[in-house]
Amino acid sequence: MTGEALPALGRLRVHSILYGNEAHRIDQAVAHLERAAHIALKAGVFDNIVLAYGDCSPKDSLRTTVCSYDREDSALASVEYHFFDANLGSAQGHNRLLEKGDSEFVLIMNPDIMMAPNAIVELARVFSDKRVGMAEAKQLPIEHPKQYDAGTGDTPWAATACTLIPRDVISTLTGFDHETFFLYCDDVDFSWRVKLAGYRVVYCPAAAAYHDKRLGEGGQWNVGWAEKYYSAEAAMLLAYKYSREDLAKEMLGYFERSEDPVWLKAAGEFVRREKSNELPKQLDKDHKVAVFIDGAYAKHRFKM
Amino acid sequence: MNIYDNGFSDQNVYGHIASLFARFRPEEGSYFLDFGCGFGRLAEVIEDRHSVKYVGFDINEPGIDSLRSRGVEAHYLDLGNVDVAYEQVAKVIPEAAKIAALCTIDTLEHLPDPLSALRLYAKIARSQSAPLLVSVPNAAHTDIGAKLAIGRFDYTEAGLLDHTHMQYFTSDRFTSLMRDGGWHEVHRHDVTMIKSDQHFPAELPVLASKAPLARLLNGLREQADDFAYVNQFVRAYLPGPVTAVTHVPYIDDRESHGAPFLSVVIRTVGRRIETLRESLLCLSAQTDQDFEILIAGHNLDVQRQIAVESLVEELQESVRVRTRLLIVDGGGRSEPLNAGFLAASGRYVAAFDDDDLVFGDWVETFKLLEEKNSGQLLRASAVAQDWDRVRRGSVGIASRAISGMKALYPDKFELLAHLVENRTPLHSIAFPRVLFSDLGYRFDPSLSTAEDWDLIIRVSPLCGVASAKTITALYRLWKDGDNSASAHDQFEWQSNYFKTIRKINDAPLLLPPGSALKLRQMYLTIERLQGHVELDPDAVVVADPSLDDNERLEQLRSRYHELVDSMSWKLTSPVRALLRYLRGQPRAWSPKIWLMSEKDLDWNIREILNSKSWKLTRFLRVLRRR
Repeated sequence: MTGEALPALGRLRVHSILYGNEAHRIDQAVAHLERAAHIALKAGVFDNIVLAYGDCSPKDSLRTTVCSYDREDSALASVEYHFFDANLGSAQGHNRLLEKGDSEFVLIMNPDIMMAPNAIVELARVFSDKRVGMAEAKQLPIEHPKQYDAGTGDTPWAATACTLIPRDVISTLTGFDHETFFLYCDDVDFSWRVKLAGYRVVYCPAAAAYHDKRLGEGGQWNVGWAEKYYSAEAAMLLAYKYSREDLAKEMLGYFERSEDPVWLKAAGEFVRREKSNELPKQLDKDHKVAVFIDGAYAKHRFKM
Repeated sequence: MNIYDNGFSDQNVYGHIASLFARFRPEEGSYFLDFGCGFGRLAEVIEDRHSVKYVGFDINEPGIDSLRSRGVEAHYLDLGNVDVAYEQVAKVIPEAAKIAALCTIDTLEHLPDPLSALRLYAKIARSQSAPLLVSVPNAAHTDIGAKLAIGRFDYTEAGLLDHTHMQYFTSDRFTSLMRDGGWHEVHRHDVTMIKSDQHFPAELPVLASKAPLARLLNGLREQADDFAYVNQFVRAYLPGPVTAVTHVPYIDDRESHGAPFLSVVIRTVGRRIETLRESLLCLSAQTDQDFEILIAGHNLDVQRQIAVESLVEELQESVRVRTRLLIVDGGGRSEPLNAGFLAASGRYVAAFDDDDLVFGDWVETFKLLEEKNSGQLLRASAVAQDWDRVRRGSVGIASRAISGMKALYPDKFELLAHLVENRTPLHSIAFPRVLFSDLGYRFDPSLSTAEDWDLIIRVSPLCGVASAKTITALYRLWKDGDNSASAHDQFEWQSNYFKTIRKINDAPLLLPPGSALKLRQMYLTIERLQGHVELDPDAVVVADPSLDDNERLEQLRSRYHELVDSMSWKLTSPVRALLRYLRGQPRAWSPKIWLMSEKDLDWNIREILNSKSWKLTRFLRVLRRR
């Protein structure tokens, strides 16, 4: 894409958490990753790429599927399968995978992500700047609406659907905050801590990653139970953690008045944590990194 | 006169054969061998024009006798026994004789094994590279097809459907037979007849030239190939490669095996490599991979061609082996689409532009639609979204979404609405490939815009459209000026629209079931709006005959509620109560709407509409409408 020299970043581990995924979609995701890995190895941005799956499913029925990817003719040096025998959620699942391996870089990826062939190269490109702590791929066909700087790519947070992170940044931050976040906002929290640690969070629109999202009739965004519940719970916890107790309380009140059973349950969980002193330690007292705008964690270019 | 004794004319098959013969510049004194010569009315003309020696061969005596009586050489020959026939010919023609041409006019269709006869001719002609002039009747003449559509297949004493014919030829089958028989085609001079000898009875609506049905069928047949009105295929050949084919041509595989469900044609001029990569990613990520990709690279210079080839090279192998790059030079926007659709092998073909995005179930949804609607156009729903491009220093250009999803397109295909304007983005619809391979449809090369709409409204009346509400396609509306809307001015768009409308308007239009009621309703509405009808809309009981029982009941309930809840009915309520009181009638209780049958509802509605108080307050409703 450009004549600018690419950085040589050493070894890469790709982490992905499974939960009852369809085997043929994992096949496709790995085929895309293998191709992107091949091109990244050829370009010299990495010299070794390993794929590690953590499985939170009730049974290890995906073991055979995953192990079949560990082939000699693959661009992936090895493929690991770790069965957690518990639904740990994405944050804790990734932390468990981070305990293993010692690569210089980690790519966090949803299991249904299909990378464009040049995606790893384009994500790696921005690490020529040592101040970059996270590089996020552009999701397609529905691009995330959060704003980013068109010139530099700087963005308020990076979604870990497909994001490249230096391991020393992860180590400094001791991974994801799985005690607070189960499924949603663990990436927002991680991004903000990356920023608090003095690193840049960069969006890479040239690195496309297909995320198989669908629209409902009329183009509406369909929200399932898990997304609705965990994102509501995480929203209050995130606001509290980033010293916006006022906002957390405002959301709590809204959910409590909603008469919506899912939101009421989320509100109940927040109150329980509050009473049992399980709320996270507060950060960003001066509101340097956290952004709360219209229920989102960045200014959005448009509403979905 | 014998039924096979037809005179010579420059316009009939003899004239065309003579004309083809002249192209070979025959030597004086050379031999012209006519197999199946019949009465040989060609003989004298050939001999006079070229000073060649005509020799006729036939199995029927009357023709031989006729030729001999006219002083022309003719012999008995049975083409059913080719070995004997060869010996007989060898005896008749001097060994050193120069053969100017062989000829077989309307004969092959009478033979059980025309392949053997063709090989016999080749054996005679090969050493001298003598040409063979052939004619056979066209079994796919419009008249025959049109009549067959209504169950008529009329054998006649002679002609296109001569009762003694043993073979029926289309142009394709004839071409295959000649190739298999060892002959290489060099000239064509077919005889055309708008009205063949099968054009009877002429009053049939499939034949009558002004009948819409005949016009529709003729239009389809004319477009399918170049032989709609060919009466006889008249062609010239030179000896070609010998083949080992053992039988006359017939269809071996009724369905093409191994072909994918879908062919995806991506049109690109190679300027938008970044978005083309994204389009390809959308395809490689499909849940159903039963498709091939044809990238139609239009007017690519070397650099752009290399850029597109590099993208193909980037693809994972399982996708790359299903991807082809077609280089298309010249022509307008339709050219690469037509090249792609003609090269496609899938049962269906869909087209992409190099910036289109689709959801993961794009192919899967088309395939599900095909299961129950094979042969129809397959249409899923689409949304639009505004996009622009960002440039990041040395990183280059990348696309960026700048709006939410816009539900601009209806989730069901409506032909009448599409006659007004296109409401279907091209990548949300898949076409049966046979429209292109068998019926001769093409994107109109004369259109510089709206070629997709033009094709959709020409083929959808024929095939029908199966729609799915599932949103599978995303149309990017570029806000940085890079789109067809900004590349062509309003006048160009409008004149292209007019061209399409004229095309549609000039031919009969097939409408899907349900259209009669829809048109009737639209017509009534327009007339009422224009004040052209006296019909009092209040007097219409609303039941729509196209609705099923429950829907109709609901509509009647709604109408009844509308009437009793109306201002004019309420205003006159005291009057009706007073009248009942004066007449000593009991108080009227409103019937329970949800308990009434269809008949009750209909009766009550009519009672209201026919009541004096309703009629008295008509002026109020008229005033309100004004």
